[in-house]
Amino acid sequence: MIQLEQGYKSFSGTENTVLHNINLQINEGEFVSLLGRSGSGKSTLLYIMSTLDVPSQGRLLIDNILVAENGKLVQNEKEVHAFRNQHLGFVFQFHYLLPELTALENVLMPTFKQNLATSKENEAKKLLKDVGLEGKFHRLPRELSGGEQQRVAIARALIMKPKYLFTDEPTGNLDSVNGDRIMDLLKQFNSRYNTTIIMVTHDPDYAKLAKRQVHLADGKVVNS
Amino acid sequence: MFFLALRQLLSRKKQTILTILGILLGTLAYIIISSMLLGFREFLIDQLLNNDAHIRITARQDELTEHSLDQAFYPQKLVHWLTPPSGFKNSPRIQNPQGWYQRLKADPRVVAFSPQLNTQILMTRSGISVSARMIGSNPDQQLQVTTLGTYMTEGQFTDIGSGSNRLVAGTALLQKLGARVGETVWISSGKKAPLPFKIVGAFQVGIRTLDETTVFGSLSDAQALNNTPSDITDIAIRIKEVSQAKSMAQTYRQLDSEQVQSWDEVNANFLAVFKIQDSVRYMMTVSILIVAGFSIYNILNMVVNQKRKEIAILRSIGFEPKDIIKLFLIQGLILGLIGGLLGLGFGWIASFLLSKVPFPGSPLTSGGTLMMSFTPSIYIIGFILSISSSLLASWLPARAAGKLSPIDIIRSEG
Repeated sequence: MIQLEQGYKSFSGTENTVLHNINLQINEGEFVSLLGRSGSGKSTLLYIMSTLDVPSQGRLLIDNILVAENGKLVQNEKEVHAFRNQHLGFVFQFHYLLPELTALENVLMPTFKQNLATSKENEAKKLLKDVGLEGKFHRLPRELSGGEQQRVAIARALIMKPKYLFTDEPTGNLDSVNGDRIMDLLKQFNSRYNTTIIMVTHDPDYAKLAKRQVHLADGKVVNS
Repeated sequence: MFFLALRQLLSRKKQTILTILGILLGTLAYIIISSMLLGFREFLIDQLLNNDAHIRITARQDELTEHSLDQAFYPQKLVHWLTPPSGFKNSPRIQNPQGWYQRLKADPRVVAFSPQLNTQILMTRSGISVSARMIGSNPDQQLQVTTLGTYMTEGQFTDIGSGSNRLVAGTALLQKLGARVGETVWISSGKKAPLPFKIVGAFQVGIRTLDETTVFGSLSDAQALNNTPSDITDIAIRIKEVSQAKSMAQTYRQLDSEQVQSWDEVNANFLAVFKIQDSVRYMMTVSILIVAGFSIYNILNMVVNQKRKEIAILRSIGFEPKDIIKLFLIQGLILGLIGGLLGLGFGWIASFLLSKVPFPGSPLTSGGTLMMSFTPSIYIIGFILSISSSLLASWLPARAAGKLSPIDIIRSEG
């Protein structure tokens, strides 16, 4: 469970407050879409909930453990890194694959941190099969299409069997066919592995595919 | 991280090869310069060590001072000399040579010693006169003390014999005189009429002062020439451990009134030049490696900027700043390691080839080729320099990469 209590976010040097008094709880196994216009603060909210950023004010709790409070990480930074590696998955609009590594090696990248690459190899291959990339294990990112690259990124996000998957406009850079396919995969993983998914999107149609929608406008939750 | 570092290096082959080339050239330059300078130095030290004594005992000549003769001529009186006495009290001679011989024979650190009579001479041939220094010694004993025998260009050193007015001379000296081996020259020490001496050999050591001004004869001939039968002026000593020369000389100094000097005390100026040469060599090498280091720094800095997105994803999937620093440091280390090892290899080959290049006629060569040193320390220092400059040059970009925050990168890319 992820809880953000009375969360505010503002950036130094600007008077602009991006998030205002956000109180949001995301339960285990939920598939939540964060919906809103550009600049509504949905990505900032996602980064705070995923520990990549901290709330300027307010508290962030993950599994009832206080992680960040009033602009600071409360937990040891090393532990937060390890937690992120083992329990959180990320899919960004731009896939951010490592161009020197093959599809399979990219998927295995998070496992290198724990020296689990060898034992996780079969699992990585299965994930790549699940996202429809069988036979393309050893292709470099530049040899894959945009949709295929994004699917590799999803497989990478799931290799450590994360409890929480954070996706920021995962379909933003794709055509509708590939976009639909990504959404199907996210739904599948949510139901098959009970992975909690928090997805930022500005596309209302994709947002509707999530079990729960959180609307943001001008940094405030207007409907959840 | 090693795996990823290696992949990143291989993915930009051209840059990697150029960087390795930079380090290779830096290391290569260091090896060649050091090999040349140290080779030359080893050659010179060998000559300084082996063509003269490790320790030399020289007769002391006391100078007369204004009041040295007061008591002898005017005892108990205060004397003011209109022309004060000057010059030396006596001719140089070792006072108690037998005492020294016994001491040296009993000292287990001494390999051999050679009593000598050194005297200034004037050599004349066909109206041409050249001043020189004659070293009179027993040739067999002299050869145990120095390696002069190996520098003979004509004849044998032992041809000097004993008491038959024969000599060997430096090639440069013979050139000045216009004399050849087999010819006779007239030699005078200024104390009696000139005597004829036959030139039975020539040597070329490579040290100008020796080759241009020195002749070797037998001890008895030198004593007869100098009109000082049974006198010796020097004892040249060869010892087992060259490094002990200075301390042994110090001990000997306290035993008698003679002047005792070790080879490194005599050649202190030479050795000081070597120290300056060392600092110049290191400064040159450091400048070369700074240039090579800058190429690593520039390339890695560029790579860090190009890899911002990848750094962001690595950080977001749980890699720590120290992992990112490691990623770039490993790249610097690999570049330094490959460049350094190749530089050492090519440096060795280049030094080997240079040691075979002929330099005919130059006295400062051994066997007509350049003296190159292959001392392991050159290679060890070269390797350490290449690795440390690579690590230092990659540290700054690596640290900058480690400081990048994933969220800042994602925001700026988004």
